[in-house]
Formats: sequence, C-alpha cells, structure tokens
Amino acid sequence: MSQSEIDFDYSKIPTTRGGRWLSRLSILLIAIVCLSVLFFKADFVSEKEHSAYSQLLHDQRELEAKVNNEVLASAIALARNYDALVFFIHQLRMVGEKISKVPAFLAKNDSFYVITQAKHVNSILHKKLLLIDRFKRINSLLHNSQQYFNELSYGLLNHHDLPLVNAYIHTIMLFIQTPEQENIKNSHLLEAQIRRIDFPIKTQKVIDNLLLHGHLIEDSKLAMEKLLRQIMSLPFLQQQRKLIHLYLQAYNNALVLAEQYRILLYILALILTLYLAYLFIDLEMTRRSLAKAHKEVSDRFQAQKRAETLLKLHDTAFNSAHEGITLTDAEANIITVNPAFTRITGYDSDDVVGKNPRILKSGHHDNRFYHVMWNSIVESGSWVGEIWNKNKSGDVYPELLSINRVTDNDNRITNYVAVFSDISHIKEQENQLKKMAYYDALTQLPNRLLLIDRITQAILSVQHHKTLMAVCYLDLDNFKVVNDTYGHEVGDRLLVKMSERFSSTLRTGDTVARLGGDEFVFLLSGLDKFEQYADTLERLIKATAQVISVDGHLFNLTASVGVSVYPFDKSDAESLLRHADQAMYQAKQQGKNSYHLFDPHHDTLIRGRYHQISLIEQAFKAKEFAVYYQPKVDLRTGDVIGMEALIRWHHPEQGLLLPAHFLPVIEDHELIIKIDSWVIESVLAQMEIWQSQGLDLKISVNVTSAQLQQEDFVEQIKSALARHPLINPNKLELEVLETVALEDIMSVSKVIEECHHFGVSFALDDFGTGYSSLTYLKRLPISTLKIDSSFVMGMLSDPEDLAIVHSVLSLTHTFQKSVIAEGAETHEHCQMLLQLGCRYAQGFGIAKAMPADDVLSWVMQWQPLTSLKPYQELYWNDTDYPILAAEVEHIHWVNSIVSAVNEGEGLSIVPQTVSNDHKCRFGKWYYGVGRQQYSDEVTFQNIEQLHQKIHILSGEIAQNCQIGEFEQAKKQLPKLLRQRDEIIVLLRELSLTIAIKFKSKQR
Amino acid sequence: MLGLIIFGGLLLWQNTTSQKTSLLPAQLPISVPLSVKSYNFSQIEPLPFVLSLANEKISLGKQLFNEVLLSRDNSVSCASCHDLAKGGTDGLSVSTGINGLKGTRNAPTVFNSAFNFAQFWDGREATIEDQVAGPIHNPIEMDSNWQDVITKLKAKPAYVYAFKEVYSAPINKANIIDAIAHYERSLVTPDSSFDRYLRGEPNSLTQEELKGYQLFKGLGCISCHQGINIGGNMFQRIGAVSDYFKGKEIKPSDLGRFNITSQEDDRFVFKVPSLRNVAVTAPYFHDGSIKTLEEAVSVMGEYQLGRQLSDDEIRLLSLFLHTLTGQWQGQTLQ
Repeated sequence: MSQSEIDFDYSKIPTTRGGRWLSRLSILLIAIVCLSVLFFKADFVSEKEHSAYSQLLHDQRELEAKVNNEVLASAIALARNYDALVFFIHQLRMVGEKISKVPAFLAKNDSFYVITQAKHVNSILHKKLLLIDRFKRINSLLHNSQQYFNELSYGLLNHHDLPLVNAYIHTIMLFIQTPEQENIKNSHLLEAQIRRIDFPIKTQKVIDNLLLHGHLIEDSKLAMEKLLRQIMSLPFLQQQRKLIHLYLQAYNNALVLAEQYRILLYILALILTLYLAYLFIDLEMTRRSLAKAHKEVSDRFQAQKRAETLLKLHDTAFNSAHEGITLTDAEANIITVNPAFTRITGYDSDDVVGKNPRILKSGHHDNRFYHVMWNSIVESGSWVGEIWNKNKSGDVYPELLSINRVTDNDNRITNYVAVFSDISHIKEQENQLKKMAYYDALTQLPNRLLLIDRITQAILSVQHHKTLMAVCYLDLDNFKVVNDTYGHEVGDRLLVKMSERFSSTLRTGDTVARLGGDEFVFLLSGLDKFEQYADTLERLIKATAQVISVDGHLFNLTASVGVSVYPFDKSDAESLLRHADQAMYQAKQQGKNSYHLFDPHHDTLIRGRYHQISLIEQAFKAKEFAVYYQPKVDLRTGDVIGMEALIRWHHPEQGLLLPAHFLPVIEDHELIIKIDSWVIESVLAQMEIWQSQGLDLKISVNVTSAQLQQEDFVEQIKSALARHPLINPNKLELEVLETVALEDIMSVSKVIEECHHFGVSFALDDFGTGYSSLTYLKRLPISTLKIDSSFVMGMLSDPEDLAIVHSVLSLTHTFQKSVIAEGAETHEHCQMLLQLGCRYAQGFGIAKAMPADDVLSWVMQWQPLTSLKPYQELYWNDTDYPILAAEVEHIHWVNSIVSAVNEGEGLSIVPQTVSNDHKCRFGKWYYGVGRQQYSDEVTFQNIEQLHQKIHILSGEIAQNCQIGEFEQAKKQLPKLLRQRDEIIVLLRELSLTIAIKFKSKQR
Repeated sequence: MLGLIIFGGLLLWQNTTSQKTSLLPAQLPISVPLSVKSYNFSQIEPLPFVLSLANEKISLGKQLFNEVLLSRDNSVSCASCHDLAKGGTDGLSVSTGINGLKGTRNAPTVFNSAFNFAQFWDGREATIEDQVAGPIHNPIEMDSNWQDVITKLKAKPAYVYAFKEVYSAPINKANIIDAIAHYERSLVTPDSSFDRYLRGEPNSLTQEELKGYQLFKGLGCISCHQGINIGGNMFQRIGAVSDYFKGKEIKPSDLGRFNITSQEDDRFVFKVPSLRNVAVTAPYFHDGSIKTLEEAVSVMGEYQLGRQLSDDEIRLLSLFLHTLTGQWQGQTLQ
C-alpha cells in the first residue's frame, strides 16, 4: 500500500482513491451482471421444456400410429365408428401445433431447422388427414355397397338359372378378397354378358343394382386400397425421426452452449472470487497499513506531545535559567539568547541576534586566550572557564562560561551553546573568602597565609628592583598578663587598638600581619638600604610603648622584635619568617623592648653604616661635595631652559661618586638636612654668579624626604632666598621624588602650596616609578613632571616603556602640567621624544651633569642637534603614535630574536610571529590600523616587501635555531639587523611624511 | 468471503447440472393413455350426463350467446338463429342476419355441436372456439368485429365485472370466445329414448322403433351416421351413389368442401350432420331444402345408399329417428 511506501506520508495517499473504489465497485457490478447472465444462459436449457417437447414428439409419433391403427381397423371393420379416429386426429393436430413451437432454449439456427422440420411433419400429417377424410368417405360407401351387394347376391344366388350372375357375384366376392385387376377384367366380361341377357323386369332391377354396387365395390375397393397405400406410405416416420434427431441435436447444441456458459461462469466466478480475495487482501493490507500508520501517527503524536512538553520544559528552563544562554549557528552568529543573557549583559535579544558574541569582549584577555578557548571547543567539543566580558553599559564583569559545540549526524558543527553566569558576586564572595582565609578575623590584618604570599611576592619584587626587604617578627612583652588579669575581651580589644597603631605607623607599601595571639609580623619591602628597617622598627617599638586605653584601663606595653632581611638572608618566605621568629626570641632574651636581626653579621653592618655616615660627614666637612649641573633643553628650539642641580662627592679614592652611593646611607640621618641646606645655598650662590655673568637659568634642586619632613622647611627656603635677594624665586625649582610626595601627600601638598606663594615651583621627580593614582597627581600642586629616565632610556626598544612615556605625556597634557623627560641618552631618544610630543629633555644625549664652572662655556657652545632639525618644526597627531609604537615593536621583536639566538634559546622565538608577517605586532599594526591610515603612502607600501623579507629571514633563523645551528643563525643576524634598520628608516620616513603633510594641511 | 460463498454455490450447482447433461434422452418418454376407446366395435355411444365444465363460464357464455351487442346494429344474437326452444336452430331453410339479410346455408342446431368433429357444413373450422368468430364477422349474419364487440361489452359494467370475476381479466376476444364455447359445450341433450336403449333399457324403444333401428343399421345409414353424435364425425359427398344435383341449379354453397380444399374429389362434400334431435331440427340438408324427415330419409336412401326405400321403411326409419331426440334441462326438445 501506498501508506507503507510513503512510510506514512499522507500526501502520497492517492487522490484517486474514490475513483479507484468506484472502478472496483463497477468491476464487481459488471462481474455480477455477467455472472447472472451466464447463470441464466447456463440454466437456460429447461429440463421441463425439454421433457414437455420430447413428450410432444413422442405423442405425435404414438398418435400417428394410433391413427394408422384406427384407419386400418376401420378398413377391416374392426372399428365401427370414427370417434376414436376423430379424437386421435384432433389430438394429433393439436400436438402438431404445439410441436411447431419449439423450446426457447434452442439456438436460433437450430430452432429454425426444428420448426421447419416440424412444419414439414405437420404438412405430411395434414396431407394424411385429408386422405383419411377421403378414406372415411370411401370406406363407408364400400361397406354399404358390400353389404348391399351381399344382400342382393344372397337373393340371386338361389336362382340356378342365372349362372352368369352367379359367376359375376363370385368374381366380385373374389375381388373383395383379392382386389386384383384380373378379377375386374373377369367381372367386366361377365357384366357385358349379363347385360346382353334380358331378365324379367323385377330381376332386371335387382341385376342392375347388383351391377351398380359391383362397380361401386370395384371402384371403392381400388380407391380405398390406393388411399390406404397413400396414407401408410406417407414419410411421416422418417421425417418425424428426422425432426427428433434435429431437435435432439439442437438440444445437445443448447446443452453444449450451456456447458460452455457454465465453464465461462465457473471461470468468471473463479476470477471474481480471486478478485474478491485480492480486494479482501488489499483491504486487509490497507487496514493493516492504516492501523500501522495510525499507530505511527499516534506514536508520533505522543512523541510530539512529549517533545512539546519537553520543549516547553526546555523553553521554561531556557527562559527561566539563571544562567545566560547563547545559541549560535556554526559561524558563531547568535541565533537566540535567553532573558538571563539580557539581564547579565544588558543586551536585548534584538541587539545581539545575528551578531558575533565577540561584541562582549572586554579586552581583558589576549588573543592567545581566545585561541586556546576555540581550540578546546573545536577539539574536545567544549570549553569551560572564567572569562571577563563587557556588558552593554561598558562594565566589565567576570563570568563562568561554558561553551559546547553541537554537531549533526555527519559530525559537522551546526551550533554552539554558551551558558554563562555572572560570577561577579562569586568573585566578591571569593574575595570575601580570601579575606577570611587571608585575614585575621579579629584585627582584619593579613594572616600568616597572606603574609607568606606577600613575602613571596616581595622577594620577587626585591630581586627585580635590587632593593631590600625586612621581615620583622613582633611579640608583645608580657601580654599574657593582660589576658589573665582583664580577660580575653579586653586583651582582644587591646590587640585591635595595637594593630591599628601599627598600621598607621607603617608606610603604605608595607604589610602588617597578625599571626595569632600577640604576635605580629611586619613586612618592610622596597628598602633602598639595609639600615632603613631599623628606623621603622624603632618607630614601631616607640608606638607600642605609648599608653593605650581600653575600657578605661590604661596599658603600657613593650614589644620584642626579630628581623630577617632579604637578600642578606637569602631564604624563602617561610624561612624568613622563622628566622625573624628566632631573632625575636633573641631580642626577648636580650631583655625585651628591643629588636634583633637574624643575620649574624648584623652588628657589623650596623657598625658599617655609622662608619659610612661619619665618613660622609667628614667628607662634607672637608668640602668634598660639589654641586654639578645638568642642562635641560627645549628640543624644539634648542634653547637651554635650565639646569638640574646634582650633588657629587669627589671621593679622594673612589673618584666622583653619584648621590646613590652616599645619600641613602644618610637618608634618615640628620646629616642629610645639612647637606640639603648646603646644596640649596650653593645653588643660590651659583645662580647669583651666573646672573652676573648674564646667564639666567632656572635651576632645580632635589629635595629629600627628610628635608620635606622638617617642619620649618618652607621657612628655610624662604630664608635662603632672602639671603640671595637677587635671585628670582621663580628661577628656583624644587624636585620631589614621586615616592616621597606620595608618602605624605597632605603635608607635601601644603609645602608646595606655601612655596608657591613666594614663587618657588615644584617638580615631581622620577615620575612613573611610584604608583601614583590620578587623584594624587591631581591633588599635588606641582607644576612639572619629570619622566623617570628608566622609561625614556628603554622606550626605543621596549614597547611598554614607550607606552608609559606616551601615557605620561598624555596625562600631563590632560592635567596641563609641563613635562620633561629625563634620560635622553641619545639623539634617537630626543628624536623620539619630539615625535611623542615631549618638548623638554635632559640626559646624556644632551649633556652630562657638569661642574658649575663649565656651564657658561657649555651654554655658549650648545647647538641643537642637526639630526633633530627635521623634527623640530613638525608635529604629530596622537593618532600617528602607532607608527612609533610599531617601530619600537619591530625593534623589540628583532631584538628578541637576536637575543634568543645569542643566548642559544632559539626555541623561545615564537614561531607564529616569525612565520606569519601578519601575526607579529608590527604586522598587526601594518595590516590593521596602519593600512587603514597610510595605505596611500608610497613609503608605507614599500614597507610591506621589506617586512616580508625580514620575516622570511627570521623564519630561516628560527629554523636554524630549531635544528641547533646557532652559529649559522648568528651569521644571519647582521643581515637581520640591516633589514630591521631599513624598515625603521622607512617608518621614520613615513612618520616624517605624515607630519609634513599634517603641517601643510594646517597652513 | 462473499466470493467464496458464490464460488461454493456455483460448484454445487455445477455438479447437479452436469449430472443432468450426462442424461441425454436416448428415448422419448412414454405418452399418457387417451380417454377414447380404440377399435370401438359398437357403432353408436350414448351422450354423457355429466360434463366437467365451469358453471360461471357457462352462465357468462349464456349471457353472451343471447347478447345482441355482438352484432353491428345490436339486432342479432347467437340465439337469434340458434333458438334453444326450436331445437337449437331457427326452423328456417336459411337464417336471417342483420338488416334481414338471408344466409346461404341452413343453420345447424347448436345442441351437441361440441361433439362434431368440425364446424360449419363444410367443416372449415375444427372446434367450437374456432367457429365463434365466424358468424360475428359474417356480413350477412352479425357483421361486426372484435374491436366493436369488446368496446360495446366494456360499456356494460355488468360484463366488465362478470369477466373480472370469471377470468380475473378484462374483456377480450379470447375470454369472449371461451365463455361462449363453454356455453355451447354445455348444450348437450342426453337421455334420449335410444340412448336409454343403448344404456341397456330394451323397453325404451317400441318394436317399430327397434325395427327402424335395424333398418338404420341394415340399410347402411349407420355407415356414416355413427359415433356418439350419430354423425358429425366425417365428411361425405351428397349424392355418393348417384348425382344429387342432376338437373338442379348449383350454387357456390353447394360445392361444400371444394370451397375449402379446391380438390375435385371434395366437390359437393359436406360434413355428415348429427342425427340427434333430427326430428325437431327441420328443415333439412345444407340448404334447408327438404322440409320433412321422411323426405330427407327417402332422398338419403336414393342418393347416398342407391336404394329405393319403401314407405314402410321410411316410416320405420322416421320412427327410429324420433327416438334420437334428447333432453335439455330435463325437457325433451320440441
């Protein structure tokens, strides 16, 4: 059935189904009609009719025989009336009429023959009947004549005289017996003789009668004989037999025909039965397939219902899920998102459908992160992780993201499903937990765990910055007594107050932790010199010793402290702590309220420091210190804008020493105040000299932290200036270290402002090294920022340094502060600074710090660098910064290859950035932002080929490195550098071109 | 299912029919015996008393027999010429039809006509039924036709009802004929003196009548006038021994069966009339030319037997012929 063919596809159900059934019905109807026709045809030969007709044929023959018999019986006077004959004849006639009507079942042809034959037989019979009529007539007459002849003869026979008459009578009698011609002849002869005889009248009359009847007898007898012969010789029997034969033949034919019809009937019935069987089977199969289909449909319906329920469930789950769900197609374009998505990201479904989820990118993760993520999805089918995304309003938030790919049967990716939840609060909780894990519950100070972590980090930092770090283990002396006397609550509150005191005593960067009980640890990092920690400790001990009031009770506590200093004690965090603990015990043993350094050389060092201080003091007294001046210039104009005063120690043995060699030692010593005062005094004096010489320079002087902390600092400056009334205070600038300024921003700000009143300005030195936030920068009323030389020096090869310099410059523009770059080591630095938009600079590239006596001559001979000329009159847009960045990136990249080759670490060359000229940072700039901005520039276009070349070369180098052919790789390095420089030349050319264009545009 | 049932039925039917066809009749079945005596040695049989006829048909037939509507101008009925009070005939030489037209032959009695082997003088119709239509159509008798007759009868509700009662059918030709034929077949006159003699009552005939019967047999009258109806079962030429029409004018009606068969042998041949009730059915012969019985006997003796009968013989024969008068409804015919 169609149904099974289509596997239950209703559309394939023939639309002519009605027609098909109509045709089936008509076939059945036709078959039934045919069957009926055949049935009647087959049964058409009526046995009754046949037997009736047969009876008629039989009766006809029998009646004919009876008629014959009656005729003969009448002829010999056996039958003496004709009633029976008449009756038989009547019957025969009636039968004959009936026989003319043949049974209907005979075939038309046969019927015709039979009827014809029947009529023929009837005509014979009719002839016969006519003859019989005549026979009756003659027979009656003959009988009468014979009787009368006998009667007459009887009378005459007694007359012996009438021999002739007697002879005649005898002859007639003989004739009656044997009716032969000879007897007639004789009788005629005798009659002739008798006629010649004359008889008496009476006798004559009798004789005449006798002769008359004799004649009658002769004629009648002969006629009757003839009639009888005719009657009997009629061919009735043959013809009737023929009729019977014809009829039986016709009957047989009819039977044969009927038989044929019956066979046809049988066949048709068989066919009909088969057809009905077929219909039945067909119907059954249809029924079964329908049942099957029905089952399928109902199954499918059930399944669909279940699916619908499931779908509804899924929908509900999808819509009510707390997690954001994103469904994308194989190209990662969003198909749909759920309400949680909107809630978390702020994007409506309409905002994101059809877009790539990368719109959520926060920029927190580098490309490598996403690369790994997609690799995981493609390879393992899923990725789960935390990711930072950006919501519609631009806020970045963390989410726990799970991405699964959906594949079809052919394992082709059809969809991606991303489920994520905003884990901001989890992060917060995490922080909370971290706090709980890392912080002491009572004092909110870091606990041991965090402390260890901090120490570990500090170790790294110390290693990097080549500074020092101290771990101080403090234990309150006799604290147990407090607990025992006043109870733990009071003890706890005491500890809290104590911890607050500790916190306020320490510098911002330092850590105070509570290990439990009355044990605290201080982590003092970023120490420039060994002895620094001692001051802090002394402050701490001092702070501890101050009276504390808790619940109306006054306490006076002391503490013992143990210290371990890194890197002198080059141990790990735990060890450092342990060592500090040990030292603390030593301090306790030494009598409490003191501190003890773990290092066995502790005393020696302490002694060394004092020795150094005394040496410095002696040197100062011996006037071994001098003030040197380093010029600051305007790179654009070439003007000398001022000088920085820098102290130098003309060490009798070690030569000229920089302040780093001696200032840190005396940093916390009162000596520094003296020296600082001396510097300012020297500078002011020198300024007067230069002024007299016509050299009016602005001089900046470094102010130390100690100096600033002096309460009369402003007064000191004021009085100093007062001592040199010729000096315009505007020409004096004080430089404060960023780190120093941040230590006590309030007081520093106050000092700065006070100095401003009488014209002295401030500059923030070493800007970038501290961690000054924008707020601080804003609050500090300084007029100038000095970019730390380390960044400026590194900016030509380190992209990050360049970025910092660039940022600082942007920042100063924003806050409208002037800026000067320190560490302009070379012309290139100056050039770069100009390109970055930094006008003022100082550094070796311009001039080293020089003795005061040399300044005049230097200023006189100072010429702006010729190489800077092209740059001096040009300006670059901030948008062109990427060219510079690209240059530095490129240099950095080449340098990294060079250093990798030189250090035999060829494998560290990132293969991707080497093999693909689009993947390196320069390439990314070039094919990205660069192309967008400068694709019209010929120079820019020329770079591409060079860049490709250098990638090919670097690829070869990387390959050589990979197979260990470092020597071969090293040989290629000069070429690499050459190519690098070629690119840089072009880049600079491009940069210049851009700037020239910009300039011409402005005009 | 239906197919299987049909198939099974056909198989069974096929079985029975095939048995039938296997019995092809080699011989014809034997006939039923006929009710008439063969080789009957007795020459005359008495009329039966009891007839198996349907009474209602007879009564309808009687009505029709007396119905003038059968004639064109509603003037003549069957009974007009076949008056049962006049021996079933009209006592005329030739009958008078519509408009007083004269017929050509003597009307024979209607009594016992059913026992005749043929109807009309020339025997042109074999049965009563065949005969009925004759007078209706004859222009000088009733001069009508079936269409008119049926129309006229249908106009009579009584007929319509009667036909419906008797035949459960409307009035038609066959019904009319059947009814009339039934009536005519009922017109039988049994229990004549001679019939009683034949039934074994010797005293029912006088000596002279008996002598007359002997003469009837001895002279040969009985050769033609035999059978139950004493005649009426054969044809014979009038003038069998000598020429009856010698010196007479021959009319077409005199030619007899010749008119039917055109056989020279059938010239002047007529049906031998029944002699029952002959005494009350004068005049005699086909043309009613003989007025008395005696004259008829005499003519018969001369032309049919070739004898000159004596007056005594004629008297005795006439006496005998009178004994042939039967009874109709218990009354001897007049």
